Amino acid sequence: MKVRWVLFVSALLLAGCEKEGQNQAVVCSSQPTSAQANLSSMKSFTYASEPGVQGLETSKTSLFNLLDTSLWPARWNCGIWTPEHGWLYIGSDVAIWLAYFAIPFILGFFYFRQKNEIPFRVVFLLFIGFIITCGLTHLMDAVIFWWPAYKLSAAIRFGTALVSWAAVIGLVKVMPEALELKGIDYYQEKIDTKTLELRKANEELEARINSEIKLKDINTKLLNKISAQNEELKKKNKSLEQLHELFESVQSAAEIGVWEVNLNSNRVYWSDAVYKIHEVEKGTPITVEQGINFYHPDYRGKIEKAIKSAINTGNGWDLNLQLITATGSVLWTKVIGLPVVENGKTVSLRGLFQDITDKVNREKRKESIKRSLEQKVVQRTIELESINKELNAFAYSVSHDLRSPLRSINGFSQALKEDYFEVLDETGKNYLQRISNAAIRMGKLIDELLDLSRLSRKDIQIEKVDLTALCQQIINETSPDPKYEFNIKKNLYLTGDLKLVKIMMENLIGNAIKYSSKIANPRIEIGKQKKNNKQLFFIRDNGAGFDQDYAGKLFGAFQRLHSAEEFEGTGIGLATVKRIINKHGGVIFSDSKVNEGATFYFNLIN
Amino acid sequence: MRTGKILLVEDNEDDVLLTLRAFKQNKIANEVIVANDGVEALDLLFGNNSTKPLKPSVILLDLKLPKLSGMEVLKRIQKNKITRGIPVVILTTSNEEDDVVKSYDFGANSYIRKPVDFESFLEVVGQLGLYWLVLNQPPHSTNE
Repeated sequence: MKVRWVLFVSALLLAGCEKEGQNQAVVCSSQPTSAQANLSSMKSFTYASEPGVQGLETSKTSLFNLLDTSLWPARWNCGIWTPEHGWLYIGSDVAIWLAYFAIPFILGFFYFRQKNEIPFRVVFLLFIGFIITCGLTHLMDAVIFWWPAYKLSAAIRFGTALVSWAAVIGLVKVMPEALELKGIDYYQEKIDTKTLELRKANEELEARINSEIKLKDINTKLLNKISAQNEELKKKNKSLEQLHELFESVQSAAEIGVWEVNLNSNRVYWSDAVYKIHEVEKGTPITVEQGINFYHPDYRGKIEKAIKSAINTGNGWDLNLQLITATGSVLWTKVIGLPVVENGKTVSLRGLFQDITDKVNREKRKESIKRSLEQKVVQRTIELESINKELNAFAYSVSHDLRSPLRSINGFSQALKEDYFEVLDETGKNYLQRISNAAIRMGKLIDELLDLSRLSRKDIQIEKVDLTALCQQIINETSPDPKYEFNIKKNLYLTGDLKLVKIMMENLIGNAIKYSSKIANPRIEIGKQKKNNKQLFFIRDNGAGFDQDYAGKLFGAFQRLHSAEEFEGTGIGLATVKRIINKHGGVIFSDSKVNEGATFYFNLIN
Repeated sequence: MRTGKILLVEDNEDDVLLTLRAFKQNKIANEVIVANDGVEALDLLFGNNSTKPLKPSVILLDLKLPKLSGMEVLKRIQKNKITRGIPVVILTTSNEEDDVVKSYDFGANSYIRKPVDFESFLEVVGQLGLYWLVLNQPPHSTNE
């Protein structure tokens, strides 16, 4: 606003000054008669007048030969100029010119800087032109002192006149409008209100910016969250893709196909595997009827029933059906169907399809093998049962028929000894005694053999057995010589058939007693210890022991490592123990040296 | 000592001889009637057209018999009212648990396994005579 006023006022001032300048120009004389004329000016005048003699007329009359100076002397030579007067004149003119040129430069500078803000731009430009041209006239006035280019001066003045008038006209035109322009106070007020408004707007803006920052913050957070979720989704997507790939590879590997029937459009979709199983070229359009007709006639009813049921009840199916492929091969297929229900209505059926011919054949083979095996088992069982019966019959007859003659042998040799006491000499009596003893021993052997065979036939009943108490009981029942020292560890428990465990321990304890009977301080120890990484029970004596090299014979029936004269026995005891251990699934082994006692390690359930 | 008869059902002659010898040595003087198989034993017990039923004080019954087995004889004896009261001692070579259990189930009063050793047999027979012929009180008198 201020700029506008400055320009306007300065323009008016200039307009005033110009009038003065023009007056001065008019004052300028055209007489080249100054006595104090500058020599150079004189010369130039003289020089100029010489060629002018020939073309004087044309030069004089021409308005356009602007640089023609032939008709006038330099101003120094026109009239009488005191140097003070002349230089004042020239100095002032140059000063005015400089000032007049400075003003439009400043104005022009503003003009170009604030082009859009300047009102009445044309008038402004006209003023600039006007001031410049005025300046030029003053410059010319000064120059004319030496160079009398009055024609050029006239042209410049003419231009100045034109521009001045254009400015006047422009001024007249814009004046009413210019007068409308409000004063500084008005604008100040306006500026103040606007400033206030602006401040308010600014505050609002700030508030808005603040909320925007907040929003941005939230936005950033949201974006972060979204990107995090995106990442997660991407990951999930990737795993889904992997799953899908896996599913597809599983499909192709397992030859599992996927199918779907849209019940509205009756369109059938088959996956590649389904086509492959049907031996139909991939992508061949298939109708529902065609699909069903691939099944063996015996199975069509089944699949039709399943489809109907799925549509009506929403229940799926899982059927093994025989299929006849496009090339006539007969296959077994597994068909799984699931209805897709929307708004309570079955809209489509989809499911899996698999060639299970190999599996069915395998199963059939398995079944037939199983049947034949079962048959064999039944046959073998029958055979075994009959063998068992025979064995039982044999055992029965052994106990009956083999014992009877023994009784006769024993009984009659006894009778002979008694009734013919006098007739027989000592040798005869001794022989008879040997006969009856042998019969008794054989009776024992038969009994023990029978016991052994009975053991094998007996079913076992597993229970927790207090081994410590059982051993103590056996020792009490045996009532051995007081010289024996027994050391039975407390709290020994094992699981097994009580009756059999008792028979086993009777044999083991009996052996320990028997084979340590010949030493002075027999000691028998029963306990439990770790041996070969297993917790095993043991029974140890310090008796005769045996050569470990023959330990393998120890557990066979009728196998003996000592003679009957040395230690009596039938060789059945350890065989019985071994049978009992075997029946429970346990182990038994010995550790012994001749004359250093023997240890038997055992457990019942290995 | 009672004077009642003893019915010995035994097919093995040796055993019969040895049993009789054991009775004798144990001073059991009761009359011993021997049946060599199950049918003969039942004939004696129930009698037939020509003979009256035998009413022994004790029956010594072997299980393994020709024709009718000892177990069958035992069943018949227990079924019959006349013979039910007669003590039956199973005297056999078998020590099969099955035989022992069945014998008692079918009403045997005692089960004795004949030992190989005659000395032991003598002891058993002595105790048997003492119990069944002396101490035991039958439901009705078999004295004749």
